[in-house]
Amino acid sequence: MQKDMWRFTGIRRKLIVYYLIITILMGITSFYSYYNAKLVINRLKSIFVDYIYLNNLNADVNMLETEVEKYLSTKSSDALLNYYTLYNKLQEQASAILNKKNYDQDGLMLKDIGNMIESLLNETDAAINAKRGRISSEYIAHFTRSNKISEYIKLYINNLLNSKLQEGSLKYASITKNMEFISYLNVFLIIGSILFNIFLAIFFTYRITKPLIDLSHLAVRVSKGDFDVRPLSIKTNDEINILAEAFNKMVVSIKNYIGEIKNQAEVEKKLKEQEMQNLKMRNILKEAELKALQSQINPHFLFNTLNAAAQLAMMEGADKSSEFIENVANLFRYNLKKLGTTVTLQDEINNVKTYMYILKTRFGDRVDFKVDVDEGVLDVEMPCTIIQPVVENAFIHGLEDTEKGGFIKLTVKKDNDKVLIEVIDNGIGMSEEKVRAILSADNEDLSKRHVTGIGMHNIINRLRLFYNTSAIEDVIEIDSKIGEGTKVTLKIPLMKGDKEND
Amino acid sequence: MKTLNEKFFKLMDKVILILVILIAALSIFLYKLQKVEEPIAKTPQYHFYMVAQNSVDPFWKEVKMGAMDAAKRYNVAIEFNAPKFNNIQEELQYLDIAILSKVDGIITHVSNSKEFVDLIEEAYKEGIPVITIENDAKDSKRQAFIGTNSFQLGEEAGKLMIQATKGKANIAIIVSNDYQLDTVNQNLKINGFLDAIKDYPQMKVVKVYTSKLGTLSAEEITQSIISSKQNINAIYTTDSVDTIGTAQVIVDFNKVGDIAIVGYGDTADILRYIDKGIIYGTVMSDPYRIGYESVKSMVEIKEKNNVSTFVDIGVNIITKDNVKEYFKRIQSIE
Repeated sequence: MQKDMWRFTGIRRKLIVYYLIITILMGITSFYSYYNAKLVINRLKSIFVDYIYLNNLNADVNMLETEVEKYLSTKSSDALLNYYTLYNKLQEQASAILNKKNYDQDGLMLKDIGNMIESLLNETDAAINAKRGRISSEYIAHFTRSNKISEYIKLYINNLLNSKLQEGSLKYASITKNMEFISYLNVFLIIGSILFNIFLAIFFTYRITKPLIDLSHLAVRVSKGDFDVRPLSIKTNDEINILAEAFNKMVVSIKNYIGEIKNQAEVEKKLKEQEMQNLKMRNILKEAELKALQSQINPHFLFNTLNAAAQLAMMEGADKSSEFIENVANLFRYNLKKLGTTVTLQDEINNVKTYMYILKTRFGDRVDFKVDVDEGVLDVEMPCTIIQPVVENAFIHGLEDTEKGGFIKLTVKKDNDKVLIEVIDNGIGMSEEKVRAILSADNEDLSKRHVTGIGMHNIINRLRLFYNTSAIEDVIEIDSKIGEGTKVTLKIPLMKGDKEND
Repeated sequence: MKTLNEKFFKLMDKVILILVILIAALSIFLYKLQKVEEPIAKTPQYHFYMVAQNSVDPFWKEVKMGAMDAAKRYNVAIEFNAPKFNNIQEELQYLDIAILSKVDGIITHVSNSKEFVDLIEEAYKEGIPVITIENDAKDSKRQAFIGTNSFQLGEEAGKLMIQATKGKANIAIIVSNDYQLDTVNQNLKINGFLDAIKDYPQMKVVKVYTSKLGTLSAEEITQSIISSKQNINAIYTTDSVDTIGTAQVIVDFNKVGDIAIVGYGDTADILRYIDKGIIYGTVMSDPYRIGYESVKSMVEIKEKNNVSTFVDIGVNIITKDNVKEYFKRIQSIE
């Protein structure tokens, strides 16, 4: 604190220096004016001092003369007393004059006056003494002589006064001339220093406040939330500089913090979304599995039973029965898989073929199947139990009620970055509303009569989740006309290794 | 913008610094200007008192100048006093004052009057040495005389007259009957003049006039010379005032070239007349040297108490050939 009191840096120093400059300027101007005024007064004084001195001297000499005359004529003791007073006074003055060693013309004249006063005093003394001694002839001679000397003194005083007057008038002329110049100079100086001071005041104020104002403008902007400000560059080498730098740093820091917080929020949001999706998918899977469990009360038992039946049929030599039972067993085995597992397209097609075989065996000529597969895409991975429910749908809803000539065709082909799986039937077809209802993925009651209990709704949702898309048309397309048939197209993206995503 | 501002500020910093320095320098300069330098003179050794015949003649002005120069050289103070115009009473008064003032030495012009002798006697009693200049008071107790030998002055005037008239002339001489010159001196001048022309039989002095009351008197004499049948064709005047008066009349009567004038003095009027050829020439003593030598002699008296009683200054001869020089000298005095 104490240290801070005496610190002489930054704004404090600047302010002090500025004020000092202005004060000193004004001070110089005033002192100069004062000095000049004093000088002029002193000079004028010196002129008048001489006049007054000489005038007094003259008066004293006159008075001395008068008193002497008075005494000589009346012998008055008053006059004598006055005379001696004047005598002493003049003697002092004379010796004072003679002690002055001044050898210019006026000084010489003054010296003469001093000497003449002494002579005068001698004469008057002699006159008075003669009068006292009643030597009348002598005192008149001395008095006459003293009169003459006092005339000389007056002449000299007059001359000296004249010379002083002349000198004084010259001096006065030079003073007035000088004074005119000086007064102009003073006015010029005062006006100049005022203008200069105004300029300095404005300049200094501007200089000190400019960075402050800049800083405050910036602060206002930042306080309104605008962090995209250009950093302030102030090089004033004082506290404002420090303030500006701190402010710049602060703005950058705040900007960084806000960015970080935003990023974090986004990541959290994404995480939450993903969690939601996961939750949804798990729900769907659970639901499907539950339904499968409901429809197949004890699949393991059924499956083992069927195997036993197949072996029995083989041992009895009923090969066709054995094959049929085996296919039924395969269908069940496939369906025992958890719905969450990933399979290849090949597995799915095989499953469909097994289902077709069973239907063919059951319904004979009433239904015909055709499979057309592009061999190159068989390794593509996809969720399990997707195609079979579609085929089953086509059979149940499209063909079951028709008497003859039912036809279901499965084609798998590559189309750019997708594999198109088409299930085409020539069944009764669907109205547009029905198609829309299916695609809106709300209708659940259609799945009740399925082998797996899995309906279109489940398929669509699983595909969407698996391929992480919300658009239905990305995964399925249904093309149907009443009386002519239906074409369901599943679109499987060609994304190998996509399963790690899940 | 920023950088421009900074540059501006930096420039302004320098400008302000320079201005402040300038103001400081200016104030110091103004302060110095106020201080009037006063040379400290050495205290003079003596106080001498000089009384001149008058204070308007260039002659006396030059005397004063010479005295002042010598005063500077010998470190003495000179108090110069003179009546404005020739006035013997005033001269005497100054002399009396000088004695009463107990000065260290008196240098004075004297006129041919007993009162001067008395005052010089009084000064002598007071122990104040007196030197006379230009004109002498032989009978007084003066210590020395500084001036020109009057015989020599007359002689030089005679030589000038010979030149002016080529050895043939009827000459009138006008001497002034002022108090200033004693008759001895006047006679010496005339004798010198006569001595100069004695080898020229065709030159003769017709008449010696005596002027009385300054200018007017000399004019009257000249007029009478012109109107007389004496066939005078040359005038010698021994006084500067008479010389001017004579020249004026010669001009007024249109006699320039008919009557030659040889005069005395170096006033501006005389110099102009010489320049125009109205006056052939003048002779005079060197006033500057009178002033200078008088102070020098007085210092010698004070210090050695031993000085020659007569210091001859010599004669200045002014003709058309060297008149320009004297014009310059006059201008330098004015």
